Amino acid sequence: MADTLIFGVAAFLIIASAMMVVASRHPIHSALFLVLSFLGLAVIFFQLNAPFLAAVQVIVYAGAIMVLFLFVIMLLGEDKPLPGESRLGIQLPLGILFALLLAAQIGYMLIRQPAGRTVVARPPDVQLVHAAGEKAQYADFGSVKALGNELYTQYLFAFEATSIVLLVAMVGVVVLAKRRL
Amino acid sequence: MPTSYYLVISAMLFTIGVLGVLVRRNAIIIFMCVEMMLNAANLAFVAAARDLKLMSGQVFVFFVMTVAAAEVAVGLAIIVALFRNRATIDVDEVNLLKY
Repeated sequence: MADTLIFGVAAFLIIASAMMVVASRHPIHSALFLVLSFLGLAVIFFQLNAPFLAAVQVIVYAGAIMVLFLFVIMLLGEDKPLPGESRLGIQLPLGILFALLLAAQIGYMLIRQPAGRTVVARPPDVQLVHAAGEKAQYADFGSVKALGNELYTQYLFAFEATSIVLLVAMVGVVVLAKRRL
Repeated sequence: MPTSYYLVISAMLFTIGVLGVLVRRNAIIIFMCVEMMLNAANLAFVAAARDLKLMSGQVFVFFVMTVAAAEVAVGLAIIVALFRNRATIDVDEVNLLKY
Protein backbone atom coordinates (compact mmCIF):
# COMPACT_ATOMS: atom_id res chain seq x y z
CA MET A 1 0.00 0.00 0.00
CA ALA A 2 2.69 2.46 1.06
CA ASP A 3 4.73 1.19 -1.87
CA THR A 4 1.96 2.04 -4.31
CA LEU A 5 1.46 5.46 -2.75
CA ILE A 6 5.17 6.31 -2.97
CA PHE A 7 5.30 5.10 -6.55
CA GLY A 8 2.24 7.14 -7.49
CA VAL A 9 3.52 10.35 -5.94
CA ALA A 10 7.00 9.93 -7.43
CA ALA A 11 5.63 9.04 -10.87
CA PHE A 12 3.32 12.06 -10.84
CA LEU A 13 6.23 14.27 -9.75
CA ILE A 14 8.45 12.94 -12.55
CA ILE A 15 5.92 13.27 -15.36
CA ALA A 16 4.39 16.58 -14.24
CA SER A 17 7.73 18.32 -13.76
CA ALA A 18 9.08 16.84 -17.01
CA MET A 19 6.10 18.42 -18.79
CA MET A 20 6.81 21.71 -17.05
CA VAL A 21 10.43 21.57 -18.28
CA VAL A 22 9.11 21.54 -21.85
CA ALA A 23 6.28 23.99 -21.22
CA SER A 24 7.86 26.81 -19.19
CA ARG A 25 9.14 29.81 -21.10
CA HIS A 26 11.85 30.59 -18.62
CA PRO A 27 15.09 28.49 -18.82
CA ILE A 28 15.67 28.75 -15.07
CA HIS A 29 12.17 27.42 -14.33
CA SER A 30 12.89 24.56 -16.72
CA ALA A 31 16.13 23.75 -14.90
CA LEU A 32 14.46 23.78 -11.48
CA PHE A 33 11.61 21.55 -12.70
CA LEU A 34 14.22 19.18 -14.11
CA VAL A 35 15.82 18.97 -10.64
CA LEU A 36 12.39 18.04 -9.25
CA SER A 37 12.02 15.36 -11.92
CA PHE A 38 15.45 13.92 -11.07
CA LEU A 39 14.56 13.81 -7.37
CA GLY A 40 11.42 11.84 -8.23
CA LEU A 41 13.59 9.43 -10.21
CA ALA A 42 15.87 9.01 -7.19
CA VAL A 43 12.82 7.95 -5.14
CA ILE A 44 11.93 5.42 -7.84
CA PHE A 45 15.52 4.11 -7.83
CA PHE A 46 15.24 3.53 -4.07
CA GLN A 47 12.08 1.57 -4.68
CA LEU A 48 13.83 -0.52 -7.33
CA ASN A 49 16.58 -1.74 -4.94
CA ALA A 50 19.19 0.69 -6.20
CA PRO A 51 20.12 2.86 -3.18
CA PHE A 52 23.59 3.69 -4.53
CA LEU A 53 22.19 4.89 -7.85
CA ALA A 54 19.56 6.92 -5.99
CA ALA A 55 22.31 8.67 -4.06
CA VAL A 56 24.35 9.23 -7.23
CA GLN A 57 21.24 10.54 -8.96
CA VAL A 58 20.79 13.19 -6.27
CA ILE A 59 24.49 14.07 -5.91
CA VAL A 60 25.60 13.99 -9.56
CA TYR A 61 22.43 14.77 -11.52
CA ALA A 62 20.31 16.95 -9.26
CA GLY A 63 23.44 18.39 -7.71
CA ALA A 64 26.45 18.78 -9.96
CA ILE A 65 24.93 18.64 -13.46
CA MET A 66 22.01 20.92 -12.70
CA VAL A 67 24.24 23.44 -10.92
CA LEU A 68 26.33 23.49 -14.11
CA PHE A 69 23.16 24.13 -16.15
CA LEU A 70 22.02 26.93 -13.85
CA PHE A 71 25.51 28.41 -13.88
CA VAL A 72 25.56 28.57 -17.68
CA ILE A 73 22.02 29.99 -17.83
CA MET A 74 23.01 32.76 -15.42
CA LEU A 75 26.33 33.30 -17.21
CA LEU A 76 24.65 33.83 -20.56
CA GLY A 77 22.12 36.17 -18.99
CA GLU A 78 19.22 34.24 -20.48
CA ASP A 79 17.04 35.39 -17.63
CA LYS A 80 14.17 36.30 -19.93
CA PRO A 81 12.40 34.22 -22.57
CA LEU A 82 14.08 34.38 -25.95
CA PRO A 83 12.22 36.71 -28.31
CA GLY A 84 12.42 34.20 -31.14
CA GLU A 85 10.89 31.30 -29.24
CA SER A 86 7.30 31.88 -30.32
CA ARG A 87 7.73 31.72 -34.10
CA LEU A 88 7.57 27.97 -34.40
CA GLY A 89 4.85 27.78 -37.05
CA ILE A 90 4.32 24.31 -38.46
CA GLN A 91 7.03 22.79 -36.22
CA LEU A 92 4.88 22.83 -33.08
CA PRO A 93 1.95 20.66 -34.33
CA LEU A 94 4.36 18.45 -36.29
CA GLY A 95 6.57 17.98 -33.23
CA ILE A 96 3.59 17.04 -31.06
CA LEU A 97 2.34 14.68 -33.77
CA PHE A 98 5.65 12.85 -34.07
CA ALA A 99 6.08 12.67 -30.30
CA LEU A 100 2.62 11.08 -30.02
CA LEU A 101 3.56 8.70 -32.83
CA LEU A 102 6.69 7.68 -30.90
CA ALA A 103 4.60 7.25 -27.74
CA ALA A 104 2.23 4.99 -29.66
CA GLN A 105 5.11 2.91 -30.97
CA ILE A 106 6.67 2.48 -27.52
CA GLY A 107 3.25 1.71 -26.06
CA TYR A 108 2.67 -0.93 -28.72
CA MET A 109 6.04 -2.50 -27.94
CA LEU A 110 5.17 -2.59 -24.22
CA ILE A 111 1.73 -4.19 -24.54
CA ARG A 112 2.52 -6.48 -27.46
CA GLN A 113 2.32 -10.16 -26.57
CA PRO A 114 4.46 -12.21 -28.96
CA ALA A 115 2.79 -15.36 -30.31
CA GLY A 116 5.17 -17.75 -28.56
CA ARG A 117 6.21 -15.63 -25.61
CA THR A 118 9.97 -16.13 -25.50
CA VAL A 119 12.05 -15.40 -22.47
CA VAL A 120 15.37 -13.78 -23.28
CA ALA A 121 18.04 -16.39 -22.63
CA ARG A 122 20.72 -15.33 -20.22
CA PRO A 123 24.36 -15.98 -21.09
CA PRO A 124 25.43 -19.38 -19.72
CA ASP A 125 28.12 -18.03 -17.40
CA VAL A 126 25.62 -15.78 -15.65
CA GLN A 127 23.29 -18.74 -15.22
CA LEU A 128 26.13 -20.72 -13.69
CA VAL A 129 26.94 -17.98 -11.22
CA HIS A 130 23.30 -17.73 -10.29
CA ALA A 131 22.91 -21.47 -9.87
CA ALA A 132 25.94 -21.60 -7.58
CA GLY A 133 25.30 -18.69 -5.26
CA GLU A 134 21.66 -17.96 -5.97
CA LYS A 135 20.59 -17.32 -2.40
CA ALA A 136 23.64 -15.24 -1.51
CA GLN A 137 23.48 -13.15 -4.65
CA TYR A 138 19.77 -12.45 -4.38
CA ALA A 139 19.94 -11.56 -0.71
CA ASP A 140 22.10 -8.49 -1.25
CA PHE A 141 20.82 -7.59 -4.72
CA GLY A 142 21.13 -3.87 -5.28
CA SER A 143 23.41 -3.21 -2.33
CA VAL A 144 26.48 -1.05 -2.76
CA LYS A 145 28.59 -4.14 -2.09
CA ALA A 146 26.98 -6.11 -4.91
CA LEU A 147 27.32 -3.17 -7.30
CA GLY A 148 30.98 -2.62 -6.42
CA ASN A 149 31.66 -6.34 -6.77
CA GLU A 150 30.26 -6.32 -10.29
CA LEU A 151 31.88 -3.00 -11.22
CA TYR A 152 35.41 -3.84 -10.09
CA THR A 153 35.53 -7.41 -11.39
CA GLN A 154 33.47 -7.96 -14.52
CA TYR A 155 33.42 -4.31 -15.68
CA LEU A 156 36.86 -3.23 -14.54
CA PHE A 157 38.10 -2.40 -18.04
CA ALA A 158 35.00 -0.36 -18.83
CA PHE A 159 35.42 1.43 -15.52
CA GLU A 160 39.00 2.36 -16.39
CA ALA A 161 37.94 3.42 -19.90
CA THR A 162 35.40 5.74 -18.26
CA SER A 163 38.23 7.69 -16.68
CA ILE A 164 39.67 8.26 -20.18
CA VAL A 165 36.25 9.53 -21.30
CA LEU A 166 36.21 12.02 -18.44
CA LEU A 167 39.78 13.12 -19.17
CA VAL A 168 39.01 13.67 -22.86
CA ALA A 169 35.86 15.61 -21.94
CA MET A 170 37.88 17.77 -19.56
CA VAL A 171 40.52 18.55 -22.19
CA GLY A 172 37.78 19.23 -24.75
CA VAL A 173 36.02 21.67 -22.44
CA VAL A 174 39.25 23.57 -21.78
CA VAL A 175 39.95 23.80 -25.53
CA LEU A 176 36.40 24.96 -26.26
CA ALA A 177 36.21 27.48 -23.46
CA LYS A 178 39.55 29.18 -24.08
CA ARG A 179 39.34 32.17 -26.39
CA ARG A 180 42.69 31.32 -27.94
CA LEU A 181 45.19 28.67 -26.98
CA MET B 1 5.20 -2.91 -8.05
CA PRO B 2 5.32 -4.75 -11.41
CA THR B 3 8.18 -3.87 -13.72
CA SER B 4 5.79 -2.76 -16.47
CA TYR B 5 4.70 0.27 -14.41
CA TYR B 6 8.28 1.52 -14.30
CA LEU B 7 8.70 0.90 -18.02
CA VAL B 8 5.57 2.97 -18.71
CA ILE B 9 6.99 5.86 -16.66
CA SER B 10 10.28 5.48 -18.54
CA ALA B 11 8.47 5.54 -21.91
CA MET B 12 6.48 8.65 -20.93
CA LEU B 13 9.60 10.44 -19.74
CA PHE B 14 11.44 9.58 -22.95
CA THR B 15 8.54 10.80 -25.09
CA ILE B 16 8.36 14.09 -23.20
CA GLY B 17 12.09 14.50 -23.77
CA VAL B 18 11.68 13.90 -27.51
CA LEU B 19 8.80 16.38 -27.57
CA GLY B 20 10.96 18.98 -25.85
CA VAL B 21 13.78 18.52 -28.36
CA LEU B 22 11.28 18.88 -31.22
CA VAL B 23 9.32 21.93 -30.06
CA ARG B 24 11.82 24.05 -28.12
CA ARG B 25 14.40 26.27 -29.79
CA ASN B 26 16.51 27.23 -26.80
CA ALA B 27 19.73 25.17 -26.95
CA ILE B 28 19.96 24.84 -23.15
CA ILE B 29 16.40 23.53 -22.85
CA ILE B 30 17.00 21.09 -25.73
CA PHE B 31 20.02 19.90 -23.82
CA MET B 32 17.96 19.41 -20.64
CA CYS B 33 15.49 17.33 -22.63
CA VAL B 34 18.37 15.12 -23.83
CA GLU B 35 19.32 14.60 -20.19
CA MET B 36 15.71 13.67 -19.51
CA MET B 37 15.85 10.99 -22.22
CA LEU B 38 19.06 9.59 -20.75
CA ASN B 39 17.30 9.39 -17.40
CA ALA B 40 14.37 7.57 -18.97
CA ALA B 41 16.83 5.00 -20.31
CA ASN B 42 18.40 4.75 -16.84
CA LEU B 43 15.01 4.05 -15.31
CA ALA B 44 14.38 1.27 -17.85
CA PHE B 45 17.82 -0.18 -17.07
CA VAL B 46 17.22 -0.23 -13.31
CA ALA B 47 13.73 -1.71 -13.72
CA ALA B 48 15.09 -4.45 -16.00
CA ALA B 49 17.96 -5.10 -13.59
CA ARG B 50 15.50 -5.77 -10.79
CA ASP B 51 13.29 -7.85 -13.07
CA LEU B 52 16.14 -10.11 -14.21
CA LYS B 53 17.98 -10.02 -10.86
CA LEU B 54 21.17 -8.95 -12.67
CA MET B 55 23.45 -6.27 -11.26
CA SER B 56 24.77 -5.47 -14.76
CA GLY B 57 21.80 -3.16 -15.37
CA GLN B 58 22.77 -0.97 -12.45
CA VAL B 59 26.41 -0.94 -13.56
CA PHE B 60 25.29 0.27 -16.99
CA VAL B 61 23.34 3.09 -15.35
CA PHE B 62 26.54 4.06 -13.56
CA PHE B 63 28.33 4.30 -16.92
CA VAL B 64 25.46 6.22 -18.51
CA MET B 65 25.64 8.74 -15.69
CA THR B 66 29.40 9.18 -16.22
CA VAL B 67 28.99 9.70 -19.95
CA ALA B 68 26.11 12.10 -19.30
CA ALA B 69 28.29 14.16 -16.98
CA ALA B 70 31.05 14.37 -19.61
CA GLU B 71 28.47 15.19 -22.27
CA VAL B 72 26.96 18.01 -20.22
CA ALA B 73 30.38 19.56 -19.65
CA VAL B 74 31.28 19.48 -23.36
CA GLY B 75 27.80 20.52 -24.52
CA LEU B 76 27.59 23.51 -22.19
CA ALA B 77 31.09 24.58 -23.27
CA ILE B 78 29.89 24.46 -26.89
CA ILE B 79 26.82 26.54 -25.95
CA VAL B 80 29.01 29.13 -24.20
CA ALA B 81 31.35 29.29 -27.21
CA LEU B 82 28.31 29.62 -29.48
CA PHE B 83 26.88 32.45 -27.40
CA ARG B 84 30.24 34.20 -27.47
CA ASN B 85 30.40 34.07 -31.28
CA ARG B 86 26.75 34.60 -32.26
CA ALA B 87 25.20 36.25 -29.16
CA THR B 88 22.31 33.80 -29.33
CA ILE B 89 21.52 30.24 -28.30
CA ASP B 90 18.38 29.96 -30.44
CA VAL B 91 19.05 26.91 -32.60
CA ASP B 92 17.11 28.41 -35.54
CA GLU B 93 19.59 31.27 -35.67
CA VAL B 94 22.53 28.88 -35.82
CA ASN B 95 22.08 27.40 -39.27
CA LEU B 96 25.43 27.84 -41.03
CA LEU B 97 25.83 24.08 -41.43
CA LYS B 98 22.40 23.85 -43.05
CA TYR B 99 23.41 25.29 -46.43
